[in-house]
Amino acid sequence: MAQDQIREHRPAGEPEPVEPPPAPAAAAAHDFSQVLADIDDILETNALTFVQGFVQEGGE
Amino acid sequence: MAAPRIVGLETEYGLVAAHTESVPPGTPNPLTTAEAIAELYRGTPQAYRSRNRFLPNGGRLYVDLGSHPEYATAECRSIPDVVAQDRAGEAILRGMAERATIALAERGVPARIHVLKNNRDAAGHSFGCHENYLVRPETAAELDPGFAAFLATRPLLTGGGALVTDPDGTRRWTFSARAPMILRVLSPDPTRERPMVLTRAEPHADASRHARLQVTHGDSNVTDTTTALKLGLTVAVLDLLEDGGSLADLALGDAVAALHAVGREGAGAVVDLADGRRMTARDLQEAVLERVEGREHAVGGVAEALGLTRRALDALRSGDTAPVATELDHLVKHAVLAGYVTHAGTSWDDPRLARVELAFHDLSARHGLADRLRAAGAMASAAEPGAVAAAVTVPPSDTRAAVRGAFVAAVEETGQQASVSWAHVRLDSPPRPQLDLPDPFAAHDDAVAALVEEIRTSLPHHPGGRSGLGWLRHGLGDLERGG
Repeated sequence: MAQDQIREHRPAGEPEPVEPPPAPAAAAAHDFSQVLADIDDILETNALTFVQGFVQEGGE
Repeated sequence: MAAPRIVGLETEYGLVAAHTESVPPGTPNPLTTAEAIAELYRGTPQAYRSRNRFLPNGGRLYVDLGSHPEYATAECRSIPDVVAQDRAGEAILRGMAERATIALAERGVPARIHVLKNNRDAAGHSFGCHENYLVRPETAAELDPGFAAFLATRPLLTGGGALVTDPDGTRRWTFSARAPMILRVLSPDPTRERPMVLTRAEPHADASRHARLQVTHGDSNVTDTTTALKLGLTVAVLDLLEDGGSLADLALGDAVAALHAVGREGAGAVVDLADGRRMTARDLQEAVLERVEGREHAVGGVAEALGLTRRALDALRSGDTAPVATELDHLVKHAVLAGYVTHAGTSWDDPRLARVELAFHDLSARHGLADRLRAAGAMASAAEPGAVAAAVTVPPSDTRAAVRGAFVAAVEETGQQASVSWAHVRLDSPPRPQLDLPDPFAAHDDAVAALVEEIRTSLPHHPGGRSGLGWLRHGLGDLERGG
């Protein structure tokens, strides 16, 4: 389970998470699956370069 | 019944120009941030290229420190109006990014402009989402010590959620990207000290009657029901304080440390009160909610915000967050990331999750997720159908924004030169005396109405291509989808 995987990486001493992972409503599950499939397309090109390149000059 | 109150929201957006073609890892961006913002504005009418522009909808679009696009909503008297105005800002910037990308392609530049509604970049720079609440001068001058306790624990409800990668490479899910960046409770300096409440005195109104309380520690929210909760709950607390109530007994020993803990751990974070008691952040929010429930509020939409707060706190206590899974921003985002981990058969250490996280904040219909999530029923919306599209050009009808918006629209449609701020308008061609607008509640002004009439009927028009208003109306796409 996803939450278990998070838990594995929580530094020792931090409390357990209060919230379990929320699940989208069952009726919309098919559409939610499509959103996840769409993410594959978004990630297809330069995913890590995009992340590294997102650097601002600071704000406020 | 509490007094009416003006509410508004300023949002700084992240901006990046990305390669449209596959490039070797680590290739620099095709445009710098400064070049990207120039492209973002290049596609707009001449009138909009100014980097500090008031809009016909009463809002303001400008370029902030660090080349951030920033959008401030008009003055609003109801939460649904702020939500519609904020979403209208997203729509305007989305349209600008799409047109900029098309213009780049036409010039043969393989770059795409992305505008991101988030609060932190890859280098750890923070940019803000500032809430503005009109209060009595004495409320801001002598802020209840428990107000900081409310703000410090609020991210368990209103946080945007954030993946954090520690220096040793460890990945953690946290509840707020903004919380760890905040260094003070009160300060006049938003850039270096990054306070929870900004004390800079710029009321944009008659300072003898009104102060503007700026809450500057919150996350930008993609899920607009969370925007509504954030603003409505905070209005309810300010109503309580101005109606003789107090949160002083909930004051924290160290509100900034508590905020950092809530950002890391969410509802279960334990906070230390100034009087020696300890309680969970959730119990502190519960104590606040019990004091504000059942009161009358002049700001529209507060009751709905308190209803969601009640359902959210009950769900968080029960451990079953399903009842509010589509309404709280951090739950929606966590569901996307957890869903993608399962879908891709990968782990939370997969570096691509950081790219998924950015997609959650991307305003683009094609490269972002919000429209899709709303259509899939995985992200709720507080915006009435049609309200967002209308708010792109139409100001709230019950505040000063209506006066200013009508003036800006008239000036733009006729090509006149003018000077505009939150609290004045002035026609410069031909020159006319400045008209001050010190009352943000005044939705009509005889002198401005007469000037608008003169501009529209008596003055020569200098239309230059498509007007600003026409541009705003043009090509906004399927705003109606998902409300």
